[in-house]
Amino acid sequence: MKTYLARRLLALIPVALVVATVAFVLMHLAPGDPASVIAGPYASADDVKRLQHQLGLDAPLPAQLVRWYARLLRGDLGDSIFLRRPVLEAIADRVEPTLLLTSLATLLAVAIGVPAGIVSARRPNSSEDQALMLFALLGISVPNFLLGLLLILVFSVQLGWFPVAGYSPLEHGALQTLRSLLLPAVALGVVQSGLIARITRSAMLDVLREPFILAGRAKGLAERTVVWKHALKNAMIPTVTIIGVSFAVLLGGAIVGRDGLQHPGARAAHHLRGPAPRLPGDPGRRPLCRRGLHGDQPPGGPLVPGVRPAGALPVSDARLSQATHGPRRPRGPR
Amino acid sequence: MTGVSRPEAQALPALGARPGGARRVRPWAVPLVRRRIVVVGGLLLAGATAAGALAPVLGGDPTRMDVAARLAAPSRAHWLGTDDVGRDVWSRVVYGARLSLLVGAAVVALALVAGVLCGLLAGYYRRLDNAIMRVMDGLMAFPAIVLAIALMAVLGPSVLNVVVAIGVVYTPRVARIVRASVLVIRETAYVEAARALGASDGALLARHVLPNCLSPVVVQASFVFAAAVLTEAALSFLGVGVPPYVPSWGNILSEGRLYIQQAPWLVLYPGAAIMLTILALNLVGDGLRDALDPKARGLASDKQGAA
Repeated sequence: MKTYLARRLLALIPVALVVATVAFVLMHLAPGDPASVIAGPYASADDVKRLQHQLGLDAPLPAQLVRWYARLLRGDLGDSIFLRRPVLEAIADRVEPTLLLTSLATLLAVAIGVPAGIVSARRPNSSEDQALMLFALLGISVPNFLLGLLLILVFSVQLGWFPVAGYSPLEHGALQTLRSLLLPAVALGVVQSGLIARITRSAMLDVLREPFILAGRAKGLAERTVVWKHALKNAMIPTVTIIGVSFAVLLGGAIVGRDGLQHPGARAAHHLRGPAPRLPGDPGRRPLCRRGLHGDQPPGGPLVPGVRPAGALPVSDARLSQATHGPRRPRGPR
Repeated sequence: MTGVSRPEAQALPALGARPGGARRVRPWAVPLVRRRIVVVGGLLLAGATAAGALAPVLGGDPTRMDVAARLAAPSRAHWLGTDDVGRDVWSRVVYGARLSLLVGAAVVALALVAGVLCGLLAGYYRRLDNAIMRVMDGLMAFPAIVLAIALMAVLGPSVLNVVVAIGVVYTPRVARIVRASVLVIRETAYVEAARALGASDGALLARHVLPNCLSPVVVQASFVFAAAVLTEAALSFLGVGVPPYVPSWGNILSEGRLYIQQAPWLVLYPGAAIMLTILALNLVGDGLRDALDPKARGLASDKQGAA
């Protein structure tokens, strides 16, 4: 088990390397020159040149790539031009809401998906199975940003039960935090619950056909013990994998839902906005540090080499799916 | 769904030794119900395709502004109401169907061609395997939507670039499936026989390996299609997808959400269009999987890109 885990972790290194390289290539393919952005529209060509030299942007690409690796290894992600602070700090700021939101969404997804899958598998093709699976299918067919909008429309605008936007940090009371996170978590969790329900159902169906289930029933075990103890434990193997994948998807993909809900989460990815940002909710120019409805969302802009937090998200993502693939093998063979 | 509770599940009467109580009751119903719902999906999809194809006839001009009737509620003149500058929502939704389906089809074509090629090469030539698959792993490690946004930032907003960005995102998923099949097929007796008869690598791959690994690919294609439609809508919703002047479901939603209180139809109808289209694609995909690939349990790839 230990060597297996170690091997999986070692296998992460090449993936991380590829991820870092892809991020680097993307940054350099992007239009726009960071030096002229920093220098501003009134800078002379000489100033821009000097700044390029200072930032090392005039070095040959391979040299820049090596420096990019070296900085990543030291945990130095550079400074963000848009946020005017170190990128690592900006990411750290967002860790709390992101992790809380992702965990809450995963919790909801598991709490809905696993029981639904089990009930479905108990009586395949019965009416409750078909109803549940139809719901699961609807769940995976609704875009989470749309679900978020509809939830806001009903629960925030019409009923006024939840805040329309914003995040209340933990230090202001856990209950407020929960209130501010619940709608986005539901929007994200429902989609994943459909996926989890489908996986749980198909895994349960497979396991319930196994001889050891027959044996359990034959020796007179209560149905409840057979299903919840013997079948569920084995059916959880693919389910745990999918839960891990879904946590990773939520961690990375929650941006859309969060943006739809105006939620300040890991806004890191907003650095990646296109060259002509058209931020929903603000058709005009956006002041750099406006607070309020939009939190401290940075304005969009061109991709800037050396200052982007890319790499952080994907690697943690990969690590997650690796970690959840971990328990699969040792538990797999029965 | 929330109504499901544990005690209810436990209170169910014990089944016989085999699960599948329905089989005893209505032996013919099982495949039929399955197929019927697949038929429903097919019909929905056909409807969306027809709407998209006939958009100019059905919808009229999606950019014509009727300033006097801004944010008008659905009426006979404007079936689904109008948006904040008085454009007809029905017309925009119909044109959105055209765009979504075109983007979806183009993404599927791109991801299939690139993914099958990479998968064949990686699966068949051991020397290429590691190199290709590590790049694919690297691309897969990025969350789909983040990678798509990054690519859009590089490429700039246009419909073609949306296709390229989403196509690149879904290529590794296809490549993985193809490679897995090729690894198995490569070792089969008929491939060995063909090789013994002197077939070249190219002929072997095209004639014997490729056709035999296609059925999971076809199944995957429908899910990639659904994911592509969803990703396009998400990108446009975020304002990094197709340019704002192109009517797309994501664009309509993104503009409409500002007026969600005064004009909920701006969100409801394009939203329903997205949902029904993706539902239809998933239904067809499920049907295809049951028909072509009964053993596949690869639900993980269902909708990973769904953000």
